[in-house]
Amino acid sequence: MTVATRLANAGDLASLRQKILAGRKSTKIAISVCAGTGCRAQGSMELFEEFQRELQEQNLTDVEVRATGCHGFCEQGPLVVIFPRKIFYRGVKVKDVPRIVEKTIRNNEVVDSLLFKDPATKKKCLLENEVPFYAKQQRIVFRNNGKIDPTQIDDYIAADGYAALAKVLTKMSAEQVIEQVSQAGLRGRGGGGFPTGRKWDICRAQPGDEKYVICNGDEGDPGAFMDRSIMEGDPNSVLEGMTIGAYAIGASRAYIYVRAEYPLAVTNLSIALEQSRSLGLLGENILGSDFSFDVEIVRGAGAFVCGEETALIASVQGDIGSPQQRPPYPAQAGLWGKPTNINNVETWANVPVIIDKGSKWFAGMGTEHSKGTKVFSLVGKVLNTGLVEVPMGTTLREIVYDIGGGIPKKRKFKAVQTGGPSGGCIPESLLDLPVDFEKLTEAGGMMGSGGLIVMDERTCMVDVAKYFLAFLVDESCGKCSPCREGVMQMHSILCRIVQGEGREGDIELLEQLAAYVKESSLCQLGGTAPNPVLSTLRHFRNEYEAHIKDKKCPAGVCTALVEFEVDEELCKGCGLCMRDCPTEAVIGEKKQPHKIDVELCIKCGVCYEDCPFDAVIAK
Amino acid sequence: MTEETIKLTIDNQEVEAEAGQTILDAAKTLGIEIPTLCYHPAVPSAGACRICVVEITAGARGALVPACAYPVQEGLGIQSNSERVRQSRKMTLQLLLARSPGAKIIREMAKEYGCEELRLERKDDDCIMCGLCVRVCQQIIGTAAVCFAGRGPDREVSTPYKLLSDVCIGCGACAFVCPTEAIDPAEFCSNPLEKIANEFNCGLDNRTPVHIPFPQAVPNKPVIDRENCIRFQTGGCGACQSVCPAEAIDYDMEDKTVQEDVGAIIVATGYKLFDTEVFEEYGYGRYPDVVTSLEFERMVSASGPTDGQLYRPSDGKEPKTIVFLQCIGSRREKGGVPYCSKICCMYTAKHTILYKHKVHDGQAFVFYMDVRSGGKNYEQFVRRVLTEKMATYLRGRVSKVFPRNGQLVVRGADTLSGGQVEITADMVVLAPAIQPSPGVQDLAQKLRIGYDQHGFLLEAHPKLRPVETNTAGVFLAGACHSPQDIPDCVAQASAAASKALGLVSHKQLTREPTIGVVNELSCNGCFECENVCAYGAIEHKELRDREGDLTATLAHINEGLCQGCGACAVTCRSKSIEVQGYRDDQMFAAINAISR
Ligand SMILES: Cc1cc2nc3c(=O)[nH]c(=O)nc-3n(C[C@H](O)[C@H](O)[C@H](O)COP(=O)(O)O)c2cc1C
Ligand code: SF4
Ligand code: SF4
Ligand code: SF4
Ligand code: FES
Ligand code: FES
Repeated sequence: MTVATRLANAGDLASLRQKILAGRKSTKIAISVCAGTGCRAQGSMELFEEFQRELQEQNLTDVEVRATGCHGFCEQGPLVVIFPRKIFYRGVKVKDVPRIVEKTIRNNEVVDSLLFKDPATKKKCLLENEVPFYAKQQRIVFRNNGKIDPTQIDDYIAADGYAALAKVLTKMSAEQVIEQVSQAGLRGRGGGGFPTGRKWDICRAQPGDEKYVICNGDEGDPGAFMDRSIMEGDPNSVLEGMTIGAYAIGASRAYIYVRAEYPLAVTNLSIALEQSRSLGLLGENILGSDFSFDVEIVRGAGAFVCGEETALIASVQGDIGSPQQRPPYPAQAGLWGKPTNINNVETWANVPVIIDKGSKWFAGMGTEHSKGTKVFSLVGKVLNTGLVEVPMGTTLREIVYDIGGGIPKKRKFKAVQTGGPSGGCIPESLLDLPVDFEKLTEAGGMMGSGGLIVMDERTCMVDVAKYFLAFLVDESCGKCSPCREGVMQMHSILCRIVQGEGREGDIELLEQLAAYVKESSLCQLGGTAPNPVLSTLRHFRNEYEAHIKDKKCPAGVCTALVEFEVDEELCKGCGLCMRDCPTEAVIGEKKQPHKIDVELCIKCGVCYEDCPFDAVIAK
Repeated sequence: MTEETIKLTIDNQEVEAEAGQTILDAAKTLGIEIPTLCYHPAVPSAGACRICVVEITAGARGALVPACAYPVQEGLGIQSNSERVRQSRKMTLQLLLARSPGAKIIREMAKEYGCEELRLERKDDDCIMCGLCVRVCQQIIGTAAVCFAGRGPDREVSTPYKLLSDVCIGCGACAFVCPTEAIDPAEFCSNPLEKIANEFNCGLDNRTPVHIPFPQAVPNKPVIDRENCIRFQTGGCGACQSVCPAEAIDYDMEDKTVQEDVGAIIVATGYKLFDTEVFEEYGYGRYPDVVTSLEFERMVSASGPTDGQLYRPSDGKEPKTIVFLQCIGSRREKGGVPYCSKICCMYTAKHTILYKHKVHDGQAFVFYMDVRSGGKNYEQFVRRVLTEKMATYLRGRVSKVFPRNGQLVVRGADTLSGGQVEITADMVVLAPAIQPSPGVQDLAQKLRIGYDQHGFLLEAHPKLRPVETNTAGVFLAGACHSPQDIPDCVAQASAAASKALGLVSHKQLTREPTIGVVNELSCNGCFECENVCAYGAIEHKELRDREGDLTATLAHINEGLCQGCGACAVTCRSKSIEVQGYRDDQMFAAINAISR
């Protein structure tokens, strides 16, 4: 890190960038060790230190080790990518370090055992972009993640960081900025999909000098972690986006609301704030202009509902995180009653690129009404899980099969749940759906924050609906009757159904409640909470009927409604189920077909999951 | 911002509203009823219960919005009772009914919407989570003693950590706004505010700091009792101001001293009851079921603390036997007053009738000295009580009232049968003597009118000038003069009023010509005369020179007030006052003429 001297103008910034780049050869070898939360949990920081130690020991001072943000493929972590070739190593352990240094760094050879093997083709991939998980992605929001050290603002500046801000401050009026963002067709990535340019314009048009900008980093959807990865891996892109937005809106203060469970994001954002302040990229008279702006971090208590903008504002103000009836909208009367503009982390991170590369370039990607890319967090029953950034309009099939590598254990795909807990399940028949805001909603799902949970044939859709509703019952703030009482009642009906106590009329009652909760709730938590039920009812109604009328769970999940049995034809007598059964209900001789004692069986389903030959069947 | 008017339509009727008003406000001006639960006019809206949803015609399908929290917008079209609205309200009610089957308001609303059948899993929580208590405490009272804890269905209203609250001031605002009577600050308040006794109901119930002093008060308007008002004591609350549609509440108003020049004054200061606690034998103040006749009057009044139901104070039971004791303190030379209080015989007779109306199978006894029923039809009234067996009259005095087995024993003499009687009663009603209101003597001194040894004000002449006083222009009406019943009071008041009118309706005042005059040449302004004038007729007259500088202050006699008694004339050392028609020279001339 260069000793901070305030950049007096845009020219200073450009020369600083030249200076940094001059000190770096493009052919220079750099080892990028993922220091995202996922890889850290698997020991990547020790790995990083080990690389440093090893290189020093071997006097390889020319080689740089860089701790970067999340690469998105956390499942395979810790990840190490060797630049400039981008050799991709996965599952790297401390003990692998000497080998990598010896072979790859010194002799330009590959450590074969650390390469990624495509589970579909069984082929090994050498380079990052050969890995199918990455091959189809287009990384715009994640442009720097995995490449730069988020704690070094120099890295960001070297990658053209803050060029967009310099351009805005020197060459563009606020109106022009809004025009650019509007023309790019950027829509909010926090779930609502509201056109960002229009939002800024509304806030800009409000009377009053005191306005606020907020970055929504609450990310309450379980399983989603794209916002965390951006805040951790490229915090300056968020700050730059916010500064540009504030300039356009006429705000001089901002808050980043980060959930308390994201300590690394808070650390990296704080470092970025400090560094950009000392360079004069934040604070008074940024880059010598008469625009002044600063940002503060607020740590949220980690309630899902606090991601809702009015609840978030209440929480920043120190009140209970409960949503407020709108209007007034935050743009009219938000934080401390002043016009406030809230955008999601990913939305902010898109802004600098749009200014940099132009609205045409951005609008060139995506579908008619959804432009640019979207980061999805692909999880569930797929081979490759992780963060996936693809252009809008990519089909679900491409994401699930090409990037995700399809369903493990050769099982059948059943549905993909999109949009977080209050999203919906989309069935196989709609797999060719190009994902964008409208298409997902039409199909009964939603964009939400970009969660994608893949489900295979062994998923019970009634159980899935129940699972998500349980989450929503807990996370409802409890302020309004429809959401507090209605979702709870829906959940208890679902509980009855999976218990085999479903009654004639339950489906209709669920539908009535769902329609009511959707249109009568105060905020969009309640407004979307019935989605899991509605979408499963729409696409998988027969499963509900099977539970209620026949008292059967076709997927074999609802323990009250299944009985496990061993198919004697298929059973090879391997004994795996017998070993794992907690109540010793499986009996049989080795190499002989086993049997399940229904009296002892507690229907935990371990055998059903275990059996490599799918010989345990649910009835 | 300028006040804009906004036009919108509700149920196809056009209405104008002010910016910042809600749909509910606008509907009110049209007389359209929208049900509410979490709304209170004094408390900021939250839009939480969703019972007030109405349909707005914005967007493709329109939307349901809460009328109580949704601001009016130009051109908005609203349906307040469409099928969609009713369906939503029904479902809200079903859910709330399942949550709070014990809440009366929910049961009633559900009945009205035809959805009282329980279809959903039930809980038994009276709180419907409307949040009014939390909002009123936080935003109106400013205490924030109760708050929400927990999320979703586990949300509850509680003090922090469910501990006894020393922040709670026990004002009861939360209980007041709660639609389901689910909250009681007594359960969590560590030092509740003292209840304020309702003076008009003799302290038999309580009142709020802002209150209308009594039914049919003139003017019939509320007053704020500063000693008990949270606003005046802590600067918080302000609820009454925020609800008052006439914006009539002004906390900065001060008490004022008003000075008026008047031509006549009517004194009508009324009376008070003798403090019966001094007669220990009757047990008033010791036994809750011994009450005064005035307390009894409030208890049986339809606008009283029990809405006219008669319960005995100790345990709320209906008194099956009741004993009325007359002449408590009256006609009692020692320790009481020697005069007859005049009204007790008649009201006690009335009380026995009222009692029998309330308790058909009850038994009433009356201890009396004499039944004095002088007055038009009075005797007939008492006869009716006796012949219709409303009460058993016992002539004699009571020596003791004491408790026995949860009842009261009244021991007294029945002088007609010549024996002692003991009556076991549920309740005893005392008829205390009447005394002038406290402070009336001070007033009399200010007005320079006389009073007797009991403090009753004196009339100018008992037969010829019964409503006038010795001070010209001051008249008497009602019990300040003597114990009086209502017809007497009204008659006296009418008389006093016409006397006063007779005085002030003329352009000029006619008076006796024999009044004092001051000789300004010899008066030296010692004002000895002022001290002796019983009628306050001596005024200060200032003499000024051409420049307006004060040269002397001399005595001047107010011709309207002077009664010509001559007290000043004899007091004046410089002989500067003479009574007209009785000047010294005139007197001497008269004497000379006689003696000639
Ligand atoms: C229940 C609920 C939870 C939400 N959680 C988040 C969240 O975690 N992160 C987020 O950015 N937006 C969240 N939102 C959306 C925000 O309310 C808001 O629309 C968004 O931050 C606006 O930013 P955008 O226009 O950039 O999307 C949530 C909305 C609801 C109703
Ligand atoms: S819809 Fe749910 S989360 Fe939203 S205000 Fe109502 S209770 Fe709270
Ligand atoms: S009684 Fe206590 S809790 Fe209730 S409003 Fe008053 S201060 Fe608040
Ligand atoms: S206690 Fe009463 S006022 Fe408070 S939230 Fe419950 S129902 Fe509403
Ligand atoms: S944390 Fe390393 S790839 Fe996500
Ligand atoms: S009365 Fe309007 S939402 Fe409760």
